[in-house]
Order: sequence, then structure tokens, then C-alpha cells
Amino acid sequence: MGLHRHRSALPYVLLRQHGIVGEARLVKMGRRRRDANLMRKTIAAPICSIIPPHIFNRLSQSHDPDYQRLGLRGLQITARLRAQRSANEAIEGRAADTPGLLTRTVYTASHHESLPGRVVRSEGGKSTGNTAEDQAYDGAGIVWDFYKAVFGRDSLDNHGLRLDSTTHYGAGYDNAFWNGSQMVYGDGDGKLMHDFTAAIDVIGHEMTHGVTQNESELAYHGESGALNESLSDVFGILVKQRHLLLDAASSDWLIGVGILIPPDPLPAGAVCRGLRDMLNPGTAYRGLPFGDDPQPATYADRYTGPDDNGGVHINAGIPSKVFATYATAVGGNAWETPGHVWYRAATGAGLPSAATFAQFKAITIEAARQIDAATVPALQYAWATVGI
Amino acid sequence: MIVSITRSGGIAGNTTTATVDTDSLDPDRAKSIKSIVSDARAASDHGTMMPDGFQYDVTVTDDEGSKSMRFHGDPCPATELFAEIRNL
Repeated sequence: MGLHRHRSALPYVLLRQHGIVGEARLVKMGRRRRDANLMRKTIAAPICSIIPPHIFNRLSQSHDPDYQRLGLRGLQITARLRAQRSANEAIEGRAADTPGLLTRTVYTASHHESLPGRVVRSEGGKSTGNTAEDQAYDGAGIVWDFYKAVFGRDSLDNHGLRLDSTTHYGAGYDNAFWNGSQMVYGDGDGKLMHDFTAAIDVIGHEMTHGVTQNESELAYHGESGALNESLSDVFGILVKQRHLLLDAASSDWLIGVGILIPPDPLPAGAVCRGLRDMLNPGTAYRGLPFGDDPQPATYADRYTGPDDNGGVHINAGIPSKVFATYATAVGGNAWETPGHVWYRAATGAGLPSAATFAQFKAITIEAARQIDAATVPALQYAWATVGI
Repeated sequence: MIVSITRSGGIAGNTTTATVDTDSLDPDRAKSIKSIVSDARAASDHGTMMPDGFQYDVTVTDDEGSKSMRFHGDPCPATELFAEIRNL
């Protein structure tokens, strides 16, 4: 079959020709959400299947750059899923995706670096008594409930994606990350950092990377990468605020409180409040063995070097400050109007994967006009405070 | 051999740099680090960039000149190198 049919029909045609029935695990089709919707409407019973690699292989050879990208992405995901499946052959009861239902699985990597590790708790299973494992389990549920209750979103892919969390990753590992299909949490080294499951906003941060992957796919470098990171902080802090019943005025707007371990005694002038301060970027920590908070508060002071994929965590402070400033000005619960504005901006069809801060500004203002036009001046002011 | 490694990114987003001159190490430690560097130089897989994954920038300077390499994610060829040098 040639690859020259009308673009909107091509993905559906390929799937039907190759006998794919049920709801396939949809590879995000870039900007072609209308094609994804077409697929969802025409595919029947929900099973979890994977599009055969030869389809992605054909797409990857297309002269159309969008289909090429789709094909390459599909091949990458397939390879990763196959590797995970072979690694999990010994694991019983591996959960399937369940539209509409919360499905959590927590693993332990037992201080090694093989993922996902050994199952320690499945959905509905009793507490293991291990703090990190239980926090990962509970936290995933809190985040799932947040997206469901506030935005009507069915898990990270909006189709009931199971939530896999691996704890105790590595030995004294000072990090947590999203690997494209699951959350991974280190225990911290106990000198500089604590266990990363201890902060619900960190769990929300990691899971939001999964949301972004299934929506705009903001490229993880430069300004688009900083937007990617900022979205994770925004929805991470909203998870925390809603869970703790904190409105915008009551929130500390700090990400990762309790993760950094302050030296004892704390040196004169040193500060250790959290990993990031969304309302006042650059003030979360200072004078620690860990260093000083590098986040700029204005676009003019943005980082332009090579570290951190072009400063994705560093420059994330700029759009994060916009959100915190806007939400504080609007007042009330930040997950309501401001959260809905940001969610629409983050998941709407108009956000390109290579978005700049300026483009995101325009998208958020349009979203605010649609949701609550009275808040647009506050949003425009918030963007002005960071110099955009 | 002078080896410099910078780890940046991760959810905390901080940057740490560690440098060592293997001539200043005991022979066994120097041999260990050179072996890890050799593996890193030969690696065809430089890891996968992933949200909140670490970025490692390695610069090796020896009699053959200076070479820089970038790796992403853990585990990758730079993971062990960073741990070794940072703990010196």
C-alpha cells in the first residue's frame, strides 16, 4: 500500500488493514488529534494492543516528516515496551490499562537499575509497610484523582493508562524521573537528599510528564523543554494544594519541600526551603553543599548554556512564576480557573512541540479569554512581570 | 589523563562538576577510571534523554588530545564514571 492517501485517513486505514481491533495503545500523533479521535470512534472493544512494528517501519520511511516522526516514535515505544515485557515475564498479574479505573502497580528496583523491578503492590493490595512503596502507591492515586476530578482526565493518556511506579531505584540515587512509560524514584543519598516519594508535588511532577508526552510532546530542550518542566511543576503544585486544601494565598508555592537535606548546623545566611520557589524563582535554597537555586525570575536572565538540556529546569522558573503570580492575583483555589486555563493551554491543539515562551503566552491568554475573560488582565500582568 | 565530568538536570536541576588527574591517583584507582573512560569512549549508545533524567558531559584530555562526550539518563556509560570521580 502506498503512503500517499489523505493524511487524516492513513492511520485508521493502516490499523484496519492489519487487523488491529480494540483500542490500540495510541502513539501520539503529533498535531493530528483529529486522526486519533477518528481512531477512537471507529475502534471497538477496549483491549491493549500494540501496532505492529512494520507499520511504524513503513511510516518511518515516509517522505512526509510528520509520518516519519510518527513512525520513528512508534518504533522507539515498541522497542521499549518489548524490552519491558520480556523483563517482566516472571512477574505475575501485570496490570492492563483500564479506562475509567485507577490501576496502580508499585515495584521495587531493590537498589539496582533494572526497570521496572519486582512487584510489591498491585491495585487494591495492602500496604507493604515500606514508606517509599506506600507513598508511591498513595501518591499515584492522589494525582490520578486530581486529574479525574478537576479536568475529567482518565489517567495520563486520558484512556486509563496504568500507573507504574518503581521505588528504591539505584543506590542512594538523588533523583526521580519519567522514563516514557513509568515513574521512577530514587531514595536519595541521605546526605544531600531524601527519598523522592515523600513529596506529593514531585509525584505529580513526574506523572505530569506523562500527560505532556500524550498531549503536546513539548521537546525536552530549550524553551519548549522549560515549558515541559514548568507544566510539571504547575500541575505538581496544584496536586499538592488540592490535597492539602490550600488556596493560592495559603500555598507556599514551593516544589519539593523536604527533599533537600540542610546541613546541621545551617551556615549563616543559608536557606533550604525546597527545590524550587514558583512565586519567587531563585530563592528556594542558598549556601548549601548542593549550591544555590539557579532559577532566573525574568526572561532577560534566562540561562542559555548547554547544561540541563539547555536549562529546562533552570528556565522553567519563568513560566512557573507567571502561573503562580496569575493564580495569586485571581485568588481562590489555583486549580480552578488558573488551573483550567493552564490545562487548556497545555492540552489544546494549538501548542506546538517546539513552543517558545512567547507562543505559550499567547495560548494561555486565549485560553483565559475562553474560560474567564475577567482574569485576562491579571494574566497579561503576570507575563509582563517576567518580561515577556 | 585528566577527566572532567559535569552532571546536570535531574528533577532538582542542579549542576555538579568533578575533575580528576589520574596521575595523582594510586595505580589501581587510576587504572579503574581509565577503564571506565575507555568504555565510555567506545560506547555507541549514549543513553536516552528523558524528563528529569541526568545529562552527563565528559571531557577527557590525554596524550591524544581532548575529547568531549555527552550522555543522557541512568544507567549510561557516564553513571559509574561520575560516581567514581565524585567520591574521590
